[in-house]
Amino acid sequence: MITEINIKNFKSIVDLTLPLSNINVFIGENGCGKSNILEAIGFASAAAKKDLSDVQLVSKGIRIAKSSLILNSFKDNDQEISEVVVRLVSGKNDFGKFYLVIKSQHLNDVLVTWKIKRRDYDEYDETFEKNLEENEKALEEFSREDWDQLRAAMEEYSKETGSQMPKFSITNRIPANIVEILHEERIEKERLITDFVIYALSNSALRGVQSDSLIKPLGIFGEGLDELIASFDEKEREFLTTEQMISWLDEIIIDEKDTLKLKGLKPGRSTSRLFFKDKFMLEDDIFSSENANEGVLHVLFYLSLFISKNTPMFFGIDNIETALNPKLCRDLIKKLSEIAIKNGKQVVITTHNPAILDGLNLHDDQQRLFVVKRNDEGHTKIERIKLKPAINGEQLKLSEMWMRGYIGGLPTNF
Amino acid sequence: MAEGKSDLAVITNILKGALGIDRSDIQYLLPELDYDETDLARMRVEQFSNWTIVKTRCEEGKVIRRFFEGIDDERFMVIHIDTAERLEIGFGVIEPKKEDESGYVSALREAVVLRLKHWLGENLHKRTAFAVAVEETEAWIIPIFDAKVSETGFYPNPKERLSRLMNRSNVMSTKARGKLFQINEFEKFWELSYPLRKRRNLQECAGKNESLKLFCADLEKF
Repeated sequence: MITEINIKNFKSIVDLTLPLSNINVFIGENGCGKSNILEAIGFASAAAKKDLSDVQLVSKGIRIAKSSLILNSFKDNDQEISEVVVRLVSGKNDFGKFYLVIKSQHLNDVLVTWKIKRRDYDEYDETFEKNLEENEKALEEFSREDWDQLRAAMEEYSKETGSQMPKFSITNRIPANIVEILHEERIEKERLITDFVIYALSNSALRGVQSDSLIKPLGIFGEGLDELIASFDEKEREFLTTEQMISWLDEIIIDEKDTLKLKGLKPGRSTSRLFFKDKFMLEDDIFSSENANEGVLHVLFYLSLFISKNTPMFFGIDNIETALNPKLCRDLIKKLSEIAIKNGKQVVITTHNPAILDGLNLHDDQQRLFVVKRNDEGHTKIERIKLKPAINGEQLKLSEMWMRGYIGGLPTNF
Repeated sequence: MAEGKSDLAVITNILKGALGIDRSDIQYLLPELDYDETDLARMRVEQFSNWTIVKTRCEEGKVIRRFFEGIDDERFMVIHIDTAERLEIGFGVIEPKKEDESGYVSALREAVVLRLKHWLGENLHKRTAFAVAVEETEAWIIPIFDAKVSETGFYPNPKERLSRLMNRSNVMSTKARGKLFQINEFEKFWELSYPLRKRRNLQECAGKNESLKLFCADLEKF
């Protein structure tokens, strides 16, 4: 898991450090820089993939802009800003540090490309793995510290993948597949950042009417939901309906052979093979995702995203509340927090709906709330709300505290 | 306004059977909605789902006043309470003598209603009905599953009795039982008490539970 992120010189962010956990919710007035935080992580992700092309950036959900808008362009800048730096930390170790600069010479160029100036990323693991492969005898000369490191890496891998921790110690034999295991661990670690994308759902993508994202298995706008659900086992599919967030939902049907279209149940433009059964309606009157309400599609998308092993382990969600009833917002974030913690998923979320806050349990350090603001110079800053502020004699929900201005994050242009 | 979600579900179906009121026209004044998950994480379930919370809300009156204030529809409030925990210190309900079986249930209900009215004080609104279940709401739905029962208000532990009934294969199939375990408390009791939505079924059950009969009689004023 990424436990800390430091971002420098990206859009409205001058120098910002974020302590992260599994669920990280960002609130703040429009234009305060919430989405910029997500995009900066997306930038680092693209750099980890060694691909900073516009296509790659857009596919991750980043709004591309002319370079002078991506780098800080504040009036009070003392010197010219030329690079974006994103540093990711995992536990006590640096996970990766990316220095990104513009390839073209002039900041005002309309068409610019970015390049990686420096990339301190994953060097330790590669050396470690190489050493193991090249000289197995090196294991015999391992110091106590080396063994501790190896064991810690193995434990982390076992925890992340749910695989059994191999038994080994200084006196035991090395597991035969140690190199393979460590290699897989490195791939898993890499995917943690390279798979990062920002989801911002659109109804037309969820309904299968429009398909703009090529990201698999779930597109950033909601594409591919039917395919992902089709890949779920019986238990996972059952989970989607038994959560009862949608009161009328009786059954989810995947029409694998697309035969229902021929029966007139999908007369529109949708390519989605996802159908629903309403518990109040006649048995045969099922309806397609094109006819379903937005709420059910959004909820199903998020539940599927969080339970699937094939979706990113670390991702962003912009405006999670879109199309959802306030009570549903609360129930959803509560449920997603439970799943994320259980499945080791990590997410950065932006929202404008106070009800989302009521679903968070701030006593749990794995669920974090941040208020994003802009200071007098316009720089984005954050404040973590660790505990609910004490309000004399009043029992207020976090949503009410936000709306009354007790935790900030409201426009101040009174 | 009820102790728990299972009670709300049963009362929902009773309101349909007695007055034809639709579920979508009912407002559930869930105590937990007064709190966020941060608060709830530090609270015991009993703090927002038991007799105490009903007492507090009656005494404070804020929820009740808000419910009635400024609304010109013909709304009324149902306040539910189980008598099972009446002996807990502080509730001050005068216990009727059980030896007088014929009047025991109605006397106990009357004693609890008096206590509720005392708590409400000035907050007592004329459009209020009292759903006092002797001893627990489960006693109201036992007759649905066991036609041979007589007065279920005498059962000391209706929850356990209902649970045992559910485990009988001639009462409920394994599949149906399994399905009930997958759904939440409200939906579970909604399913279990669904037959009460029919007036005839409701009357039959009321004939086997005096406190249900008295609740239905209380509803007739609406």
